[in-house]
Amino acid sequence: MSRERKWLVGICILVVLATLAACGPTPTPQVIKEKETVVVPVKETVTVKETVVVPQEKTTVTIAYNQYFNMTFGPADPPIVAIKKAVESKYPNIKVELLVTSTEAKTWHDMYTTWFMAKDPTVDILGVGGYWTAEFAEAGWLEPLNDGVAPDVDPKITAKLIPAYLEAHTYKGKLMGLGPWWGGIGGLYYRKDLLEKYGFKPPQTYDDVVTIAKTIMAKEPGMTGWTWSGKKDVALVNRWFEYLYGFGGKYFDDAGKCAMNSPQALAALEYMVNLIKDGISPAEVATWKEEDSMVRFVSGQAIFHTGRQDMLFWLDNPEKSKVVGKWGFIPNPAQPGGRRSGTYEGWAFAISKFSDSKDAALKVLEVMFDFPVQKELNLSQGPVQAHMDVYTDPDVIKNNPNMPLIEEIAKTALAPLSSPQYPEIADILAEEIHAAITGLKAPKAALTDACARIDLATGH
Amino acid sequence: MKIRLREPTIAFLFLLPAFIGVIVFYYYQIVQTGIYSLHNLQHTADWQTQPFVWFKNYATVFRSTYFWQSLRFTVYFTFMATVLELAVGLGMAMATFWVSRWLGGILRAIIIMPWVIPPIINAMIWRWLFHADVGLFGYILVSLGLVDKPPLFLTEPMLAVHSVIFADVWKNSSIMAIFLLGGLAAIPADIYDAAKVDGARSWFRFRKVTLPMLLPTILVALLFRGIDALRTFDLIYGLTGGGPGTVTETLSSFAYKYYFTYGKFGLGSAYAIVVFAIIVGLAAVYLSRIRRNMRFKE
Amino acid sequence: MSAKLSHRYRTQYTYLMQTVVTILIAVFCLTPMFYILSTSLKPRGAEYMIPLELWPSKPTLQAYRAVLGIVEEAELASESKGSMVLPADQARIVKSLSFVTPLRNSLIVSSAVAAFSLLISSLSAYAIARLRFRYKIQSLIFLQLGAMIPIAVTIAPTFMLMRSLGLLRTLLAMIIPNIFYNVPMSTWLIACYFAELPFDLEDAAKVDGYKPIQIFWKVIIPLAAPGLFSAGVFAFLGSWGEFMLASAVSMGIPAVQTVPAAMLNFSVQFRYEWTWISAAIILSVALVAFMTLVFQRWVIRGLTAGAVKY
Repeated sequence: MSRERKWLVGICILVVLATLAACGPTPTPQVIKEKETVVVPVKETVTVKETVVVPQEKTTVTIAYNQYFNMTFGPADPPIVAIKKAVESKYPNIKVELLVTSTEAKTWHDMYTTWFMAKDPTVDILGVGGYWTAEFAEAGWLEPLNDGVAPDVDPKITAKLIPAYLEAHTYKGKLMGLGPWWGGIGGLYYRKDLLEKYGFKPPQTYDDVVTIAKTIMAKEPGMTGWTWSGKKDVALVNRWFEYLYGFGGKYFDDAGKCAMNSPQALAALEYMVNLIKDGISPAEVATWKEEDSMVRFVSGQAIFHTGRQDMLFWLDNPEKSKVVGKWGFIPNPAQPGGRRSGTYEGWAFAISKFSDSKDAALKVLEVMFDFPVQKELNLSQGPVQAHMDVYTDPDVIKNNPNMPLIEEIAKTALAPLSSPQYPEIADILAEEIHAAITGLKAPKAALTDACARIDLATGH
Repeated sequence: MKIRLREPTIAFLFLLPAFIGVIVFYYYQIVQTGIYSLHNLQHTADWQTQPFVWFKNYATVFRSTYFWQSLRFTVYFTFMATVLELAVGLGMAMATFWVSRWLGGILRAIIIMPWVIPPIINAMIWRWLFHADVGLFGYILVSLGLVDKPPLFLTEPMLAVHSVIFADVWKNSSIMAIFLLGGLAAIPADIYDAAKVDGARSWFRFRKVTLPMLLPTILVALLFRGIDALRTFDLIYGLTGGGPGTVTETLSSFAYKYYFTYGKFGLGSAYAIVVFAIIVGLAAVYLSRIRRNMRFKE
Repeated sequence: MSAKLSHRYRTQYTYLMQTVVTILIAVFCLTPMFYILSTSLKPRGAEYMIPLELWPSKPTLQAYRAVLGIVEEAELASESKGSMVLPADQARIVKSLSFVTPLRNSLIVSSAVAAFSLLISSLSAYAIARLRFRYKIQSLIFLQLGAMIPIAVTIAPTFMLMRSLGLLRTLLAMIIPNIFYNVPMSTWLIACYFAELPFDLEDAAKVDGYKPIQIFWKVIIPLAAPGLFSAGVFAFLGSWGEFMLASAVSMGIPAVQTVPAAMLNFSVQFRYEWTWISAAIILSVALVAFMTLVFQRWVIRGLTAGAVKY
């Protein structure tokens, strides 16, 4: 009996080992990170001037950002190329890698959450949405850049960055990231030619928009009144914030409770719902992302369009637009008592708490927010950037003649709702607002539910 | 030295790898999820250092109206999907037996096709077919003159719910039919022949002979599909993302959202445990069914 | 005479009805895939043309070339008039998202899963179906109950487990859990098949001097090939389509994504390129569809003895 048991235990162990070993030899592609030693062979380096080639310790810094880092829309290299070049000339022993994330903010955010939960050291610098800062900072996932503990950013760099933007990326007094490398502010595009034809001035209030749209739509068959992005997504939430503040509402009351069920907020949501009911905005807005929503305006089929400022830079390009010279761009309207508001979405860069090469990451980050790279970013992607000298640079002004229009819009910039619970709040708002504009819920019920859920999420 | 292993010992050794794996990847995970669900975990899974909150997370779950809404949808989805899949699957399986041998072979090959499509890819396919402007379905309805413009299949609440169900029925009727084909094949041919000799008409034959013989298979297949439908995640994630509003959110997609979007591991785990509890109920029926039909060597 | 005639009409009528039914079922099952195939063969941008073409007038394999990353910059340039993204950038992005890698990864993962889960579950199935021991039914239920657990329940701890094993961002993190996700179902299918074989096989083999492991390996396994086969197909398909775990443990890294995770990523990156997305769908379904089609007779035969037999 005892001998048998011994055998049993032995075979047990063997089976476990065999199972494990069997799983071993399968090929496992891995993202290789850590320091790699690169020995530059003399024969191949025809252009290298040094006669003595010393083996160099190269540190790899991985930047996580979406596909836009691989693209350029103007007379400059794609951002990742510009950054690689700048870093290479200043720090030859740092190698920059791009890890491409999703372009959809939600998937992108969830990807980061899994990385952080895994305490993953691969990614050193992360592109973060302004509205993620509070959440990631509260969770302790980002490295503060001004807390007196290395890595801290060189004050000479931050001195040249626009303070208001830095403020947006500060949480509880600590600077969590530098930004924006690119940013968006919402505003109202309108058909200048049509408004002039029917004797209208650019709208000041939301009621004006309705009056103008109704008049022109009656006389110009086939025209859509007003397009915006109403897909159940962050873009809808951004639009909602603009209406909310435009009607005099606000995010939270003084006690920190959700204030989006106020009479002003209700008026704002009813206005949005009525836009669709009255046919000024087509029912399809509820399916449109930003890129879908601009199509009708760009092809000359819509009178108004709400969107970010980035269309400015190609609306006068006849290859891409059918409304060359026929449009105007103004801050979003507001009802009396409301605030003309454009939601600001800035994309910043932060250093991961779990990064294994924070010092090198900081050096790369500083290069990214120094003037040469910032200018390249402006030329390849359009504004807005954090560096203040970019806006007065002659090349930039020559490339973007519509730049002054942005100043008006920037004055109305509305800081995004800042809360560690942002993802949940954004989801709740997207769901409830979407339920209202698709007719699933009455506006009042949607807002009541939204606030109840938000207070539950934030613990009020 | 010659070793003599008794049969129970051999059986134990043979079962061991499967047991270890199932314990590690299922049972241990449930215990772990249970532990998570009793802690307040925000943006971390290190439960040892986080506050223990008893059943507070469960209270939050049951208080949330959205839990009840998603529960309602999940149950409605499961019920509609399995019933329709049974109807369509049974129809397809019967047809395969009814048509000539040659056509039957073709039918079997056709029926098996939707089954091989991964759920997330099924979601992609239907996203394109239900496209608001150029989707095939809207286009067909418009060309038939039934509607003026393509309906918003994935945006209008009632339509969205049933579009999701339709997409699921399309894919999973296939596996239902395959199961029932197995059941039909097992009905001895002489019973049919006897019924035919008696002059029974086809409907009567179906009701009095086929259906009773097939009933156990139908029941097991229904339970199998029901358990699967209760756990639906991929289809929702890829097709509607839970929209419009939260109309098509299932319990599984809720749990996933709490984990990886909100970073609330405690609350997400409470959701997951609730899903598990619901499924265990159905699973118990399923397993007792299977157990009754055991014919293994005793 | 008249009876014979009516019989002939009847036969023809039945034959007609049978054909109609077959066609109806075919339309139901195949229309979606047919339309995806047709979309994948359209030139870029043509998928948005109204009226819709059910079959492209000028079919092209361009979308497949793009999906496989072998498209030339010039080709993209001629097609992308009006697109905001420069052809050079596009070409680079298309190459970086080539679908070859996920297809290869999925093949590795699914084959490994199918092989190992077959190995493990044929052992356990043999024990359950053909060996004498107590707690037989309890063992089976223990395995089956595991399979009822939704992945949503196990995903978070599994993710943390894979992290502590250092397996995140490797294919092993998908292979190992998937093996065991499929073991309960495979055990059940195979056990049912084993139970069909006559029980005196073992006694005969023992008389011939076979050891237990030899009986299992040389006698039972060959006889149960169809059952094993259909269980293998189940495991292969199950892991081919598994999405939640794959997308969590691959952490967005294209080099280790399997088809479902890459598919989602791909469809986000090229949201409007439905010819490409369709081509990717066709590529990811074609292989498994072909495999299942070739072996469908065995799959159904294996199932006949399997889980749902009363």
